[in-house]
Amino acid sequence: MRWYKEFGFKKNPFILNPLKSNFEIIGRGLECEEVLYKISAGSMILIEGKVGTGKTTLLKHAINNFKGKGKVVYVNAALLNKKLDIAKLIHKKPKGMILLLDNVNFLSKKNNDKIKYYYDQDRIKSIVFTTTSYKLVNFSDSIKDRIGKDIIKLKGFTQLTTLEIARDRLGSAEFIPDIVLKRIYDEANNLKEFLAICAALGESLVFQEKEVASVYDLKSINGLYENEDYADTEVCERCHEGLDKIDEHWRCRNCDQFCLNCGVLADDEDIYCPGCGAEFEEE
Amino acid sequence: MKNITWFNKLGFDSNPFSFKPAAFHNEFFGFDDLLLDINKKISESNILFIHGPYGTGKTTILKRIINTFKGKRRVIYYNCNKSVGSINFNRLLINAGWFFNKLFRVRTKNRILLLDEAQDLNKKDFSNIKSYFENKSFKSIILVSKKTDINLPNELKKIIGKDNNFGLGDISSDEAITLIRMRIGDLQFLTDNMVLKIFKKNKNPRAFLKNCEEVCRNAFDLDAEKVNDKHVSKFAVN
Repeated sequence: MRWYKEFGFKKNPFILNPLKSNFEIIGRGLECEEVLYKISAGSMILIEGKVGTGKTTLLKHAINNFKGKGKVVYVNAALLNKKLDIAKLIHKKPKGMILLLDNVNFLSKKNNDKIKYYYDQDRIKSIVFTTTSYKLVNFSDSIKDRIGKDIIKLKGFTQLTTLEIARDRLGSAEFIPDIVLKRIYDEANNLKEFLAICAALGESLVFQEKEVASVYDLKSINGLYENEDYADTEVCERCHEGLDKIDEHWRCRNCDQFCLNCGVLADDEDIYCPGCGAEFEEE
Repeated sequence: MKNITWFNKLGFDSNPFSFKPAAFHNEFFGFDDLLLDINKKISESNILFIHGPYGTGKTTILKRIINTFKGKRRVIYYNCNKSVGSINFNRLLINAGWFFNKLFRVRTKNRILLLDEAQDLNKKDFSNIKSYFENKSFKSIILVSKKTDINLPNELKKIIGKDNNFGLGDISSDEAITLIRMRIGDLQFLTDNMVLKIFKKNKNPRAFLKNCEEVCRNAFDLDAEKVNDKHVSKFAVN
């Protein structure tokens, strides 16, 4: 039996993936409104924020708001198999589709320029990109000019908001008191980590057959959530390995295909580096 | 759930200040004479050079050209910043054909080639452009660039000449007013006087449209009856 069923939940209340949950948006009301407006107005915007600051949650709300017309397409570039065939994605889609592109820093410049082309041709009405950092993204200057100042920067959640989120998810359940939630907030680096610790705590309570958590219970679950540890150094969102810094770019040796000389992302068929022009050796 | 925006409440289906080239293709503005000229030059077989900084309408003009000459696979669009090394014109011509052209690797003829981001072209590309144009593989070639000076070789400069060189830039205040009236009609929520004040902040067409959108949106959200000086100075950026 799942731990959360002991507390009367059908689903894990601390689920991390925003796409698989349907909670109210808390602490990001203004940002959410801005995203929805910019989509309606046919803009190209970028959401910038570290891991666990609510980027995907904002996209989820955009999906909820505009779904039903077959027009919203969500793509997580971090999960793509190196290449995005944007033409295929758009094929058979009606004019005026809305593209939500999570973790756009995983796309090459070439791909981004194709997207720009379809945006200019109005095959794509609006685009919302997200990234952990603008400097990781491979945008050409003409995309940057189209985005202009339409960048929404997300900061980490405050203690107050984090507690509000936890209370919203717990509803009437009270197995984690505020004092424990505050301690978890202090230990966690971001909301994802906070939720992971809460879930681990819930599980350990069931194991110990306790009804209410105390701060001491936190010690016993140390290590349970360590694999969810996101340090504030740059980490690959796909494989969670540390990234290498080459020039201005952070790159993952496992997941990215990039020029060792200048760090620019490359496509399979590239013979020369799109950034510095160095010739690639065959593998 | 429906998202009702200020422009919906003012009676527009979509953002009237969209800078997206495609959005207002039927009510075109400003480039009409220029476009007639450009289309004529394209039909007469020429190499054209269109240049201007960001947001001055290069993509808008390209889009119009594509719309005018599309169908029967006549137009080939190519973004030059995609390629490192030189462009393979041969492959472009083969790929532009129908299935059988591709199968037998037959090169198509008499195409119109649009080269976007032409500032990224190299010497070899330029000499290729000249020879492919002269052997009539391409009927017309249009170079589009954000820079005015793109190291065109002299022989190519001669072919382009003065007549086929089109520079784009900031618009005039009259054009600014016409542009806004084309978009929002006689709506007095935004008066000509205010349009001019927004225009003074930034005369680049794209920046100007973005400013109009921001000012109107915020003024409307503040329940203002009209856009006033305060809105302009607060919400339009340089």
